[in-house]
Amino acid sequence: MESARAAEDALLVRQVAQGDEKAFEALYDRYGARVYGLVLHILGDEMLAEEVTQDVFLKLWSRARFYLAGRGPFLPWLLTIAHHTAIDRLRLEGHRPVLSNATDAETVWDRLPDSGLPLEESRWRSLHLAVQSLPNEQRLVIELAYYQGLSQREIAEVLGWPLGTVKTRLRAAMENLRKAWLDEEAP
Amino acid sequence: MNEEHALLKQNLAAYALNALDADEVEALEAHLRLCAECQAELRAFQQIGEGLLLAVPPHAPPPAIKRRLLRRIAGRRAAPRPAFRTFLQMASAIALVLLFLLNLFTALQVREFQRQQQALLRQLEMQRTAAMLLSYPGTSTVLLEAEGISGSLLFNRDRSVALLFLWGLGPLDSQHTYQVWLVDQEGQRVNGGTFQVMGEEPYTLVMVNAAQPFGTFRGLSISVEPLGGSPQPTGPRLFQIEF
Repeated sequence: MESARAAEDALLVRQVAQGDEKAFEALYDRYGARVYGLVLHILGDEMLAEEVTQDVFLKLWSRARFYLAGRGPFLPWLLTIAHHTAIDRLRLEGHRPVLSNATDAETVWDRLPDSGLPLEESRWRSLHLAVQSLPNEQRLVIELAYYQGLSQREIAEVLGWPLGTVKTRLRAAMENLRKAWLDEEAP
Repeated sequence: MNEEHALLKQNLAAYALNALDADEVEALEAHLRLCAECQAELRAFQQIGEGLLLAVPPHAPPPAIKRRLLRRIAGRRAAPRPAFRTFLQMASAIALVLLFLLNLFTALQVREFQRQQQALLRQLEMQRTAAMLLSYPGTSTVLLEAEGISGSLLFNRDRSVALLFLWGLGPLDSQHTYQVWLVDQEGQRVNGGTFQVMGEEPYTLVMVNAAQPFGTFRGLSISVEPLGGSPQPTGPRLFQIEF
């Protein structure tokens, strides 16, 4: 089921790379809500989220040839582009330096793990729940690091915490998520 | 080494979330290249990073985004174009270049044919002139011998046209020309026309047209002059024939 959907995605992306507008529309219908949901979560502003969602899909239109089906499923690739585009927009709005080349579709593969993840809806929900279940201070550092693009040093400045505390809490948060989420699927 | 490994290992989670500062990234990446244990642990954290992308609940986007996107891409090909289009463009470009070269070659050939045709016409005209001169009574031939040059002059005292056959005359540079001078009874030089030697034939045939019959002149000479000719001889005289 999942592999059939991945194969469909790969075919649609190939068609987009050849300028097929219908295939592009189909991918938007499939994943527009996921991209918009992620960038809205990062930016917290509907107007900015609309602009960034549009930017992400225009990147898909012009850079679809850089998606390599053999390297992993399409959605994480697209969401990684969305993530970096949104973080860059956040940095521009806050006059912070942007991630260099991070939004280029061809560099996304360097930032994704080799093995694909199961993409079922239930798995996403379980990670979402795992994040929500973290102690507040751990959830906060995850939120600031991953969804706001702050470094540990910047988080320490924003929250007024010692840098060592930020590091410890971030590491603990990731360990907890690993136990709650990855170990859950281990045989 | 173990102490360094333990220290750097603590940064793996932050690295997977892009939360390390630049100075920490460099040291960790150098360590990662050599440490399989850290590589494996990083993969696990990266999976969480990827999962965090997917963990955000979807949110229906405003319909205006789709409308704007479809309007933006309408009629525009995704870049870059498929390979076959690039190939076709390259083939078209090569075909155009070949066509241009073919046209250029054809134009040069046509120009060469025209030049050869004009040369043949001139030659034919001279042969006719020679035949005409020979048909008149009183037509004479004068032989000439000079240093490296030989030939003859076919003329008639009652006619104002003559033919000069020259052997051993080489082509000049682009700034000079041969000029014929007719020497009148007072010894004055009168312009008899200019000519070039192409070097394609072993001999040169020159038709000399005079304003008066050749009987009014007592000789003929040739000199090298600047291109376009001179009112009076200025260059070296190659030879002179006395009638």
